[in-house]
Order: sequence, then C-alpha cells, then structure tokens
Amino acid sequence: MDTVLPPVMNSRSLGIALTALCLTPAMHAVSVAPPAARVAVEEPMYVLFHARIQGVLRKVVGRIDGYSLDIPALTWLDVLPTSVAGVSFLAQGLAYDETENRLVFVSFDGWRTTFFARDFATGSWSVLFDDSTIVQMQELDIDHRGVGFAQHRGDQSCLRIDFRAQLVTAVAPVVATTGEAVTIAPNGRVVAIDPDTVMRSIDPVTGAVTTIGTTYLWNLAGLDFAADGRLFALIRPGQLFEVDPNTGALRLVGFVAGVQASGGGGKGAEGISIATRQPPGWSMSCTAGAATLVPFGTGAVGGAQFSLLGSGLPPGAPGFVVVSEVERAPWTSTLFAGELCLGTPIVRIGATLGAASPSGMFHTVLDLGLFPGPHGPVALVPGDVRHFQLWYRDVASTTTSSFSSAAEVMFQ
Amino acid sequence: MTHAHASLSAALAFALVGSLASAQTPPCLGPFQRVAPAIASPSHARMLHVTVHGANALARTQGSSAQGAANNIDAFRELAPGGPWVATQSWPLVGAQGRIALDGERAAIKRTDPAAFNEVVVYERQPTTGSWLQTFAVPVMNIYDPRLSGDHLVLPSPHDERIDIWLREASGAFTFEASIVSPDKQVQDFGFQLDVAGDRIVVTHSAYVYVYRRNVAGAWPLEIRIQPEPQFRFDWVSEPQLDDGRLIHLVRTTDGTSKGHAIWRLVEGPSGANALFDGVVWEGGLVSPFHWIQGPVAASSTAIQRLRDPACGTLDPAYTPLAVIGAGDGDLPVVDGYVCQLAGFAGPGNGEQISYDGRTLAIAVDEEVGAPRNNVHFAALLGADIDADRNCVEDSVEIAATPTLDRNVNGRLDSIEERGEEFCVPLAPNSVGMVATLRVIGTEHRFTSDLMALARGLPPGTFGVVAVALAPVPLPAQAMGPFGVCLSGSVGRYSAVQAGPDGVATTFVPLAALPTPYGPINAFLNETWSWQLVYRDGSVPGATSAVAVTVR
Repeated sequence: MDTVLPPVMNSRSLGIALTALCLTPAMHAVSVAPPAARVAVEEPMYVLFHARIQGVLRKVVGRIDGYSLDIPALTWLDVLPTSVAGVSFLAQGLAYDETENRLVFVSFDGWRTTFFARDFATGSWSVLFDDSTIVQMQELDIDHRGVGFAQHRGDQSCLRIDFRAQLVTAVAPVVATTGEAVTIAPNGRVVAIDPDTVMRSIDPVTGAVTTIGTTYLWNLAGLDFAADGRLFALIRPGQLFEVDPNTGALRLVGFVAGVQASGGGGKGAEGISIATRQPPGWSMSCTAGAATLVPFGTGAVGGAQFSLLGSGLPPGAPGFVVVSEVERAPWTSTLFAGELCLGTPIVRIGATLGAASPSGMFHTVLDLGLFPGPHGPVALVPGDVRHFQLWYRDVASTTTSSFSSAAEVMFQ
Repeated sequence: MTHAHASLSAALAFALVGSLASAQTPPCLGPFQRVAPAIASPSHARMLHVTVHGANALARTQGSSAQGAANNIDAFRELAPGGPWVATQSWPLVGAQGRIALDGERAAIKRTDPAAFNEVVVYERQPTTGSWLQTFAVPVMNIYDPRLSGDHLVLPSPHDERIDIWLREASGAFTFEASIVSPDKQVQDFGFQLDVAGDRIVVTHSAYVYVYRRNVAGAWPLEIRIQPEPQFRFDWVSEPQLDDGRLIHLVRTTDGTSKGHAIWRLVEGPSGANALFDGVVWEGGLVSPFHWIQGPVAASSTAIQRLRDPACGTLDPAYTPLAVIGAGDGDLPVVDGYVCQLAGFAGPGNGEQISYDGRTLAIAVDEEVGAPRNNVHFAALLGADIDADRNCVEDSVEIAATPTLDRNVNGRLDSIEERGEEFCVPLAPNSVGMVATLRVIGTEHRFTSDLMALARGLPPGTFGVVAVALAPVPLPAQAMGPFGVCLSGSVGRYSAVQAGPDGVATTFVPLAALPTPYGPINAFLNETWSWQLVYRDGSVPGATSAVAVTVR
C-alpha cells in the first residue's frame, strides 16, 4: 500500500510532510536555486548481434539498458527471421524509425540491398523494398522525419534512403567518408567513421565533409547519438564507448555481455540504434545531488514494464521514490543534501523503505495501471506527466539525507 | 623442505589460486610498453606475429591481399635490459608467412612468392649499422615454420616425415647438414610440432616426445624418448617447449577431461641425458581453463598460457588473463600469477600472438581501440630459470655477489633446490643455542654430481661427519639412537668436515659414490637414502636433523 502525503502542501507544511517521510522535522534556510540545466535521459538503445541458438548462428535484436550509467546490460527482444516472403536476410545494420515506430534493417546478399522492418506495435516482420544497386550497405540511421542515411562499404560514399519513394541515392560529391558506420547528429548532419577509424561530419544536403579526427575505434559495429548529443559506439567484440563528437576522443562505457556469440569467430555485434524521439517526453533535472534517478522501459501505459533506477547511493542506504504531477524550481535546504524539484502534492511510492544495493543502486518497478496519487491509486493515461525523485538516507552528509536528480516522464 | 612428488604439484597450484582474491600479477612483471612499427602499417594490414629474443624482436604485418603484397617485417630493439624498446626498421617481404625464427642477431622467415620459388630467407643484424640485411635464402618445398638455434637452421617437413638441418658456414651461407626422419612409420606428420634449443631438437610425435641431440660428427641421433606419466598423455598437436634443459609440454588427462602443463628436467647421464618428470599444473588449479586452441609459449622454465574465460574482475573477454606457470621451489611447477592488462589498454584489440624468451613478454596487437592499427606490447618478466626465487633479481647476479648462496656450485640457488624429506629434527638446541639442521641440495639423479649435504646451526669451527644409510629409516617419533642419530642398518660415513664461522658445514654426496662399511657403491633408481651429520657439541656429541632423498 502506498503512503499518501497530505494533498495540500506549501513550504510550511512540507516540513510536516518530510517528518512523515522520516526526515529531520526542523527546517532552516531554504533557498531556491535557479532551474538546473535539463539533460535528456536514456532512450532505448537497440542492438543487432549474433547468437548461437541450438548450435546455429542467428541474428538477434536486443536492447541495451543502463548505458547512461556505465552499466550496459543486454535484453533480448526478437530473433531475426532468416527470410520473409521468400526474401532471405543477412541483416547488417539497423535503425529506429520513430515515424512508424519500427526498427528498420538493411540486408545485402551480394546482389541487392533489402530493407525490412520489425513493427513494435504488432511484433511482425515485413519487407519494405529491394534496391538493386550493388552496394555493401552495413549501417544506416533514420532521422526524425523518416529519412535514412547509410554508408557504402565499397566506395565509401554516403547514401540517402527515401523509404516512401523506395529510392537510394548518393549524397554527392563524397570521397572516402564512410565505410564502417554512419549516424545522424542532433543537428541533422551525418557523422561517419571510415575503415581507418577517421570520423567525419557530412552535410546531408551539400555533401560537404568536415574531418573531425582519428578515433582508433577499430572493429566498429554501430554508432548513434542519444537525444542529448552524446555519441555512443559499439564495437563488434561488445565494448560500448562514448565518443566525443567534436574530437573523436573515447571513453569506455562498459562491456555489453552477450552480444558476442559463444565461440567467437569475429561474430559479434552488428549495429546499434538509439530510439530518440522528438520532442523528448523524458528529461532529467535537479542534478545537484550525488545520486541519479533514470526511468527505464517504454513508458507505454498499456502494461509495459516501467521502472526507475537510482545510482550513486551509499551502499545499502534506505530510500524510497517520491512522485508529483508538477515540478518546481529546485529547493535546497540544510535539512537535506541535493535539491528537491517536486511541487506539491508529493506522494511517496511504496509502503516500506527500500534499500540500495551494495553497489549503490536502487531499483523500483512501477505498475502504471495502479499508480500512486494524492487521492489513492490511479491508472495513468497517455500524455500523463510525472516527476520522480529518490530520497535516501546519507549518513555521510551533515543533513543525513539527500535527494537524487529528478526525472520527468511523459507516459504514452 | 619440499618433497618432490608429482601429485603435490596440482595441490600446490590449487593452494596458490585459493589464496587469490582476484587474478594476481606475477611478482616480477614489468610495466607494458606499447611500440608502433618504424613505418606505419598499410591500411588493412594486421600485425599477426612477433618473436622476441634477447634485445631483438621481429614482427610480421600481413596485408589483406591474397598475394601478401603488403606484408612487412618490423624490427624492434631493446635499448637496455628491461627496456625501453624502440622500433628500428621496417621492410617489405612479399609472401612472408608463419612465425619468424629469431636467435640472437639472426632471423629466418619463410615466404611464398607467387612469382618465385618458396624459400626461407635468413637475415642478420649488422653489428656496425644495427640494420637487418638478408644474408642467405634456402629454397624449400613444403615446410612448416623454420627454427634457428645458433648456426643451425631447422626446417620441418612433416609432409615428408622429415626434419632437415642446415649449418651456417663462416661465409654466412648455409649448407645441408643432416636429416632426422620419423622413428615410427605408423604415425604421420613427423616434425609437425617441435622445438629447438642449443644442440637439441625435441619433437612431439604420437605417444612420445623425442629428443635428438647433435654429436661431434654432425649427426643428430635420438637422445631420449620421453614417455607420458600414467595419469596423462601428450597433447601431440601442441608444441613442446624446450629451454635451459627443461621441457614443458601440454598434456591431457588420460580420460581427456582436463589439460595441464607438465615439466621435465633434462639431466646428464653417462650415456646422454635423462628426463626427470617434476609435475603438472592442471587447468583446474587456475582461475580459468586453458584457451581452446592456443598452447603456451615458454622459455626459461616459464610458460605463458592464454586462458579461456575472463577472470580479471570484469566479464569483458578483452581482459582474459594470461597465466604464468613456471618451475618453482624444488622444481615443482607452480602458478606465478596472471597478466590481465596491456599498456594503457584503452580498449580491446586482437592480442592474439605472444612471444616469450625468458626475459621479455611480447604481444602483437592489432586494432587495439584507442591506439594506431598495429603495435607490439613489451613487458619484462624474468623466467623461472633466470630468477628461481622470484625476487626479481637474476640468480646469477645474486650468486656472483654472494657465492655462499650456491654452495654446491651448480649455478642454481641452494634455497630452491632442496631435496627430500627432513626427519629426526633435534629436540633441543645445542650449546650455541641453535637447532642444527641438514639440507640436501642439488640434483637427485643417480648420474649427477652436484648433490650436497649442507648443515646449519653448528658451533663455529666444530668438526663432524656426515653419515648415510639406505632406508628404511626410523620415524622421528621413535627413540633416537646414539648421539641422536636416526640412521640404521649399514651406516656409511664421509670424510670429516669442519663448520665455518657461520656454523655451516658442507660435503658433496654424489649418488655414484655412496660410502658404506663395505666400500663405495652406486645408488639405484627409486632407492631412498638418508643423510645426517654428527658433530662435536662442546664436550658431547650432537646431531643435525636427517634428510631422506629418493634417487631418480
């Protein structure tokens, strides 16, 4: 049973409410900080990889969660069909198409390029179209308008794909620009890495090329931007890197266990695609504290699992998640560390205290059909917005408790 | 005191690993240094191979074209012992294949040139200029990777069941010297797996390992045929590793369920050498099983074995460790530790091929994330025969500074060559407050002469005699005989010895001349003999502990 806070709260009654939350009752020197800069939170990162299923090497599409927290973890979504309607597939790249809510795959069999898709609504697979141009297309990305860009491994040119007109054209004039991976930056430019790991930025309209630098990102499988501008790269053996899009400098995010088929043989990851959406319904704010709270899942109200993952807590620290329909400018107080960015009424989730793991992680799975509200549980409907923060005990701080960053989630 | 028994080795390996919180680094592993070739590798070319020997290393970079047009040989040089290493030279070699044989300042590389005959090209490093120059080429038909040892070029032809040996003349040209042919016509591919060290060639073939040794006439007769121990068989598709008079070989349990590295010592006898089996480190005693395919590279009684599973605190297989296995105390094989990470390893690369010469570990790495395409990683790692006590100082240096560390003058530290089992330890201290002890050091082989009885804790300057008798011996719990002596039966005695100012007395106790009341005799295989020293302790007799050694 969820504990419900008094429905009417102001700055004075918040002290009473915080008492109910086991916080220090007295309240001093509350200050209002300017609104914190917002950073978008983790969109689903889809991955195409090899797996050995009953001894047979198959291609699998999965999702990498936790990449923003340097704890990338793989979830299997579907095994690719070997063929649909008589067309056999050797899928080599994938991209999320938000205009149709589907994953688009590219397959090249030596004679033609086939585009096919997996629809998220139905889970069904379909052939989009064939292109008879003999290009070894290994990686593609689709922008928010549904326009695709891809690379040509043979002559390393940059290709534009119009899925509605079913047409592949070269973005000219281009020489030696792609070859290993392409993606579309938030500013609309195409970013590509060639077989010598040189990263370039390409104007999709003029074809003008800017060389960014050598990344030394060998064995690249896939490259994609998150909505906040962070650039991620997965290499075939399964290591995920964050790439500085301005310099090409690398930072190891972590190893994605499971994307390399047992037995090795160079059969690892094939591509990634981060399902960014416009406009982002999820965001992060209130980031003054040490801990971070990130929502996971699709946020679809129709039963899909939705969860919140806190990180950066003291090991074993007691805590719980609070939620509100409204946000407010960040509060700081001598009562707690970090900032409180939730407006009233604030509702606590969970009847009992949770506890952080030994590694300082805190995970809560929420039922969107029985969601805590100030007047009792409600069923969320698409378009509902909630703001979440994690309160936790922090004996190391002088205030003995703290708040994580806040997460804003618009449910679909 | 250790008891040289084979079954103990696996238990020792288990005990060592059990004490590890995580995969620990070998005690004397230096930092890794990443060195790029002198000339940047062509695009798509991969560094597939490196060989290190002494102050030289040669690597082979292979292009993706079928003709190998982009193949390069890259030379590296160690500026001072322990590094740093620098790249000195790169040159193209069309069709270069396989491993590079390297011995000192000489190298041999096989090449297959579609426009010419196949040949083995010999290079020598010019002492004046420091550059490598081709000095000879031997036309070949269908051979495996060549090997070099001193003036000998060894060309294995397993398809012809033959190993050809060529000898370098003073002019630098090589001439054919001899062939070794298969001793067993039942099994094919003789010479498929071999190693060369000094004037010996060791070949794994069917059920046995054969050791051939060159004689003064320039022939290479069979010297030893080594049989597997009852608990294992040889993994005949893996290479034997011979260096410093020791053989390391991958073995499998007779039921095939487990692999291990077995170590033998080659000791000289009157009619050639004998192989003394010292034990096995089984993969079950390591943090991970062995890698499926890759056997070890070994030198100086130290084997470097790639393991199969990640065990370096991460699931990332890019950090799968290399196990360092070597001859330890009393020549029992032990695990020295694990190499987890290369130099500044920003990310994974294809660090597939390893070379080790007893002093330097070299790894050819291509497509290492965060670094240019091809590199060699070098790290100093002293082998077990160079630094037997693993204190990171070469034993020869220690012995030169303190000769009493090697009282039997066999070039090996006395502390790591103790033999047999101690018993009959004195119950009370002697007149100088010491419990006098005896050690037997050296080689417990019946044809060697470096076995020595070494007593400590004696009154300085006192006289004593070492007594010897054939087992059975009384147990320590039993009442001691006259003067505390635990030997019984026909007790022989050596000439009197006098303790030095440090209370140490020694006497050689060669197994070919054991004193008995009936005159000197030879020890026989598997006999257990016991030694004890009786000495004058003030006005009364005293005795050291006794040691029983089984003759091998």
